[in-house]
Amino acid sequence: MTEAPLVRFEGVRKSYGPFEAVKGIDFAIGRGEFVAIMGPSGCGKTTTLRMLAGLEAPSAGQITIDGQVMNDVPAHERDTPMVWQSLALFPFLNVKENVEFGLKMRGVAAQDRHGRAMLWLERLGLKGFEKRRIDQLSGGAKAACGARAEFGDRAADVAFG
Amino acid sequence: MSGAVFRIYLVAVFAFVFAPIFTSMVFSFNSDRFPTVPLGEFTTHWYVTAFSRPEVWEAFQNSLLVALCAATLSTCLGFATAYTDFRYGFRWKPAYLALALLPPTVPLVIMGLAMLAWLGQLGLSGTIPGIIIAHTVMGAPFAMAICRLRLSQMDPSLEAAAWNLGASPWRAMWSVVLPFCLPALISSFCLTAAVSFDEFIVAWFVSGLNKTVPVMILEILQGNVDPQINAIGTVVFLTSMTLVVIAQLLILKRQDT
Repeated sequence: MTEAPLVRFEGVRKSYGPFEAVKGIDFAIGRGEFVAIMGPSGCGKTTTLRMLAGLEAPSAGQITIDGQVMNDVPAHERDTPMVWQSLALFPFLNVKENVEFGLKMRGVAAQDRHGRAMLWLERLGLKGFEKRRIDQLSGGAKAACGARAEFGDRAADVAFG
Repeated sequence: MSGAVFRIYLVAVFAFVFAPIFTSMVFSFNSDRFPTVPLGEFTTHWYVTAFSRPEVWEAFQNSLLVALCAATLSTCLGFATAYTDFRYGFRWKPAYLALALLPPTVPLVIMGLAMLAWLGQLGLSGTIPGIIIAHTVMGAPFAMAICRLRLSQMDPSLEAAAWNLGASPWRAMWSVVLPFCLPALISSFCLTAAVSFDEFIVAWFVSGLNKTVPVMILEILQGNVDPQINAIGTVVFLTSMTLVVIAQLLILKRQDT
């Protein structure tokens, strides 16, 4: 028996007024699978990922994650971390504060947060940079810092915007 | 233009703008009753006399209270209006923006008369809350313009990234949008406080017996030309300038980041 897919899109559409950005897509992604969505500019890749992350509500169809229908689950209650094209780093926070932002928002205690953030800083190659401001980082270090969201222990999947 | 000529030009422009204020400051320390040259002796007599009058203290208290409350309300309203513009797209947005930025284009005399009529209907004419409302209406568009400028520098994915990392919309506002806008909020507060502290015309219409400093200055001037005015004017100028300089420094600083 094959395992149920982790993510499933069924007849998902997204329209902005008369403009149809996503014209009905169906696909399933299994646990541990790496998937690349490719297509020309404006074909709906980003909109699809934004719907998966809960940043856009589908106009029709159903999105399920781990068997649960996600259409009405708000973005902050989903476990679908994204790495942003613009990196979306918070300029008023230092590197460590950026990396542990997600843990803080999910109510992890400060001491636990610190340990996990330091571990991830080391994995991301940012050890020693934790007190730096974002604008003091090189392009590569910024990109590594942008992967901050990946470290959720229960990360269901990682979506690249 | 060569460097030297440009420097002379700059000095001339600043001298033209600040000479009258500087003159008033100099005469506030002059012992002669009339503003004549050569100057008399150095004295702080006019400051002592002015600030020994209870009505001067009362006017300063009124002005400070009005400026603090009006600046707080203007900043909150201005930020909310700017955020609505930043975050949401809707059909009548150009009309919304035009209306929000309209108050500074209304002639102050008309604004004063309208405020008098409206606040009279509400039973607030001649009260401190009445002046606060009038100054909030005048200050909010300035606060909105400053907050809007700052929000235009914010990566639109920043807020969505916070939601994606587990922050509820309110938490994202508190943890991301407000910290990003903090320099603009402080700058708006200082600028609108300065606008309120200096404002005369509308305050003259609506203040009644609760006079603010500019209204009180005119009333003293109507009686006679008194050097105490120079002393009070110097304090008012330094207060407003401090607020404006703080606002400007924050505006310049945030353009760097």
